[in-house]
Amino acid sequence: MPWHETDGRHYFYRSEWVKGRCVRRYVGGGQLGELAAAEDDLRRIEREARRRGRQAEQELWQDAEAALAALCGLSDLVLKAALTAAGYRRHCRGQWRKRRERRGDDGAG
Amino acid sequence: MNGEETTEPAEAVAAEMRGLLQRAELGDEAVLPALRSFLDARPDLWRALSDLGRRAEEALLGLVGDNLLAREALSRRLVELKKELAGPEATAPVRLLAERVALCWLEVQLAELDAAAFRQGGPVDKSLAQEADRRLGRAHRRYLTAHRQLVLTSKLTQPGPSPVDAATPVVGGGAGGSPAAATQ
Repeated sequence: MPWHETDGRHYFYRSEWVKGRCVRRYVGGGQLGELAAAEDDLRRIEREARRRGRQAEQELWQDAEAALAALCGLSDLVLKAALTAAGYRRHCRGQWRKRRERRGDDGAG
Repeated sequence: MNGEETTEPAEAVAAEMRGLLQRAELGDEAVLPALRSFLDARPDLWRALSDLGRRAEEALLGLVGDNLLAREALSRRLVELKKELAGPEATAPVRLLAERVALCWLEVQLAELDAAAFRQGGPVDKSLAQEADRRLGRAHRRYLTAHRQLVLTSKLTQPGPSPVDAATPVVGGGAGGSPAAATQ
């Protein structure tokens, strides 16, 4: 809690991390304390807005990558189908090679 | 959601095609005419691909933000690039792969800008910067694969030039240039 009450008066403290320990620093009471508290609130809101912006951006990237991956997946299949239909086969999951026609299949001599 | 609407038909078409390809891989030559007619006479296949392409393009252009001028410029560049990559008399698979290369090219450009912004910016979350670098790596791999497949498909499925055409010197570049030259 940044506000502390002593003898009915309120004083504003800021907590900071110093050498791995949380240290409470006195800022002031009255209007000075309220100003510091408002400044901290503003910083917190800005931080939260930045975090949400980054999160939204990450989600946009995820959508874009998923859409591209779906397109790539289906076009890979179409490529495979087009090459297979054109008489090619994949040699040992590597090169695409023209499928050899069996002798006598077409009756040509 | 729009994404689900476009993914479902694509999944159904993909499952059907996978079945035909499995039969072809097992040496069933009787499946080849079915595969040809699947590619030639199934509008739902090309509709699904077109939907997926449009969805990917919208998602990528969405990353540009509110800058409408940049969005329009990139959109026009994509149209140009698809035309250049496919060439004038492209078959349907080549046109599809040209679209894929163009979209992957756009992804690389955007991922590079994003990663550079993290590198040049002030103190940022380290994990976000690392994720931007990883994303750039993935985009590069996708782009190179797409490019390789476009070149392979152009080579294997487009009819080769006649000896007369091959002997005729080509004047100037033009839209029918090699796929490799268009994105450089």
